[in-house]
Amino acid sequence: MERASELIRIPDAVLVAGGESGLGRRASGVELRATDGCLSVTVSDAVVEAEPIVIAAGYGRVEVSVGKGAAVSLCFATEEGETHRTFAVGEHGSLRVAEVVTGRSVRADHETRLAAGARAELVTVELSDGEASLAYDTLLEGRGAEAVQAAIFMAGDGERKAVKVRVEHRVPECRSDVSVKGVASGTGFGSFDGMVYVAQDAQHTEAYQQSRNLVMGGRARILTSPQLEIYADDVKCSHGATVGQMNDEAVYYMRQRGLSEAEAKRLQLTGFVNEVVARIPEGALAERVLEAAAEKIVRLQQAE
Amino acid sequence: MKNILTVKGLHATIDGKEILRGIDFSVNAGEVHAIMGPNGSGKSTFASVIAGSPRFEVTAGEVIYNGQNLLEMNIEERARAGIFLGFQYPVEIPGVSMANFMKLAVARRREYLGQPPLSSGEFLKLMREKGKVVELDSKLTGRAVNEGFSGGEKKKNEIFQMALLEPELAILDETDSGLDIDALRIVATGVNKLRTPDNATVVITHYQRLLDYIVPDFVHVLYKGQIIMSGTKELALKLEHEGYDWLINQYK
Repeated sequence: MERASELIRIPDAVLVAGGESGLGRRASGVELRATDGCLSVTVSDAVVEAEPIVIAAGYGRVEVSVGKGAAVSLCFATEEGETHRTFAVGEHGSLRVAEVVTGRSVRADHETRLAAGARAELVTVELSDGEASLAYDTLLEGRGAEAVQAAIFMAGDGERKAVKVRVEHRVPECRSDVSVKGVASGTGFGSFDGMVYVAQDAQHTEAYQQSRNLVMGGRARILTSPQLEIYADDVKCSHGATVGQMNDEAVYYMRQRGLSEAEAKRLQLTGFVNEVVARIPEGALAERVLEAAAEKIVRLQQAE
Repeated sequence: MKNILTVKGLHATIDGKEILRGIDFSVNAGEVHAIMGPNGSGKSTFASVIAGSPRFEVTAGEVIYNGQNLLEMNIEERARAGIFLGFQYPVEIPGVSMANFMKLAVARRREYLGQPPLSSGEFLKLMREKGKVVELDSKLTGRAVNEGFSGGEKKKNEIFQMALLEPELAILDETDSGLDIDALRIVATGVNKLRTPDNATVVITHYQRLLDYIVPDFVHVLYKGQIIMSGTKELALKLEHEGYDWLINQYK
């Protein structure tokens, strides 16, 4: 059998929660295997892993399978090149995924399948320095399944970021809540394509989709297109999109307390980003991401 | 007595419309002034112009604050020099914690005063201490600025910030609006606790009610952008009983 440290490469920048070698001390019932750039994570039925597992290395292909009634939290680094991830969560299983996107040219797609009563929460913080194209397909296949997703992308000067989210309600009584935020500055360009599909049988669906965007300066652009396609007649669905500038009232309020205009804007932007970063389940990682985000925010401000 | 603020012939407009039409006003250290007047008379505009709001344009007049030309100072310079505006509608700032916000604000004020920076521990202690001035729930200081605060909590939070910044001139813009009697008492008591012989407070209000708690040395009535009468606290009582009409008729 391969050694744990060979399964998961851990660069200095990121740590594995719960211990230096991490994997060796996983509760039995969580299996991680790496072969040819492909990582598979299998959590057996009813196994609840309390500590988040941080997977630092960029695997081109990741397959995660969470058994019935099992629960796990995973943190991924999405880096240069192409990444494909599939997540399957069994009945009443729970999966939390936090993803930090870095690199200069990134493409990643994700497919999540949820059985009855299963829950998945996806958090994405996009900090790359060039082009990033991120796609998420979530299929609610069993009654009572729930999918929650929060993401933020930041398009600095000369950068292009695209986030595409599709949520499919195939059966009744499922819930989905998607919130994607974007910031663009300088000549940055960002886009959000959202689609919530509710099949004819999927009565009592609850589906929310929100796209909130901040554009800094006159040259940055963000296009947002949140869409609903609903074939059932007894559903609760909403979607909304905003593209706006920094809140002038808030900047004035903070300046009246003595902050400079740049400080007020930085604080506001940091707040906008932090609402997503704060949802990363692993504290030490969240803190590092916050630091990286703060550097990115400085660059966004400089490009304004 | 040390003069803090002197306003002479102040005119100000918004989108070309004149709101302030020649205000003369003077505040000395240790004083409490109340500015009253009917809706739309320019009370909030006056407060905003002193704070430096970019929404208004000053077209004539002068404002001297502690010997400095206030109109040449930007918003944050005024704040750091000790001018505090208690907002009628405090702004919600999602994702920005009260502690982070006020830590920066206090640091800038202390820099201006030439005081050494506070350590994190000292700042936390200061927050706890000042929170008591308005009986502020300590949980609120960990939350985002004004987000999800009740009307009363927002106003208490304004006075809490005032306590942290120790301004020389506090202008409280309709701090009493939307407060129930308990919150009003707490807010007013907080303001009174912060009074010293070296600072001054300007209370802008619609109602005499607040002045039962914060007793003013002078009461001014603003009407159509001018102060049409000044007096002592008895003037506020007369206005409470008789309304503004007699005064406005006299003015016409």
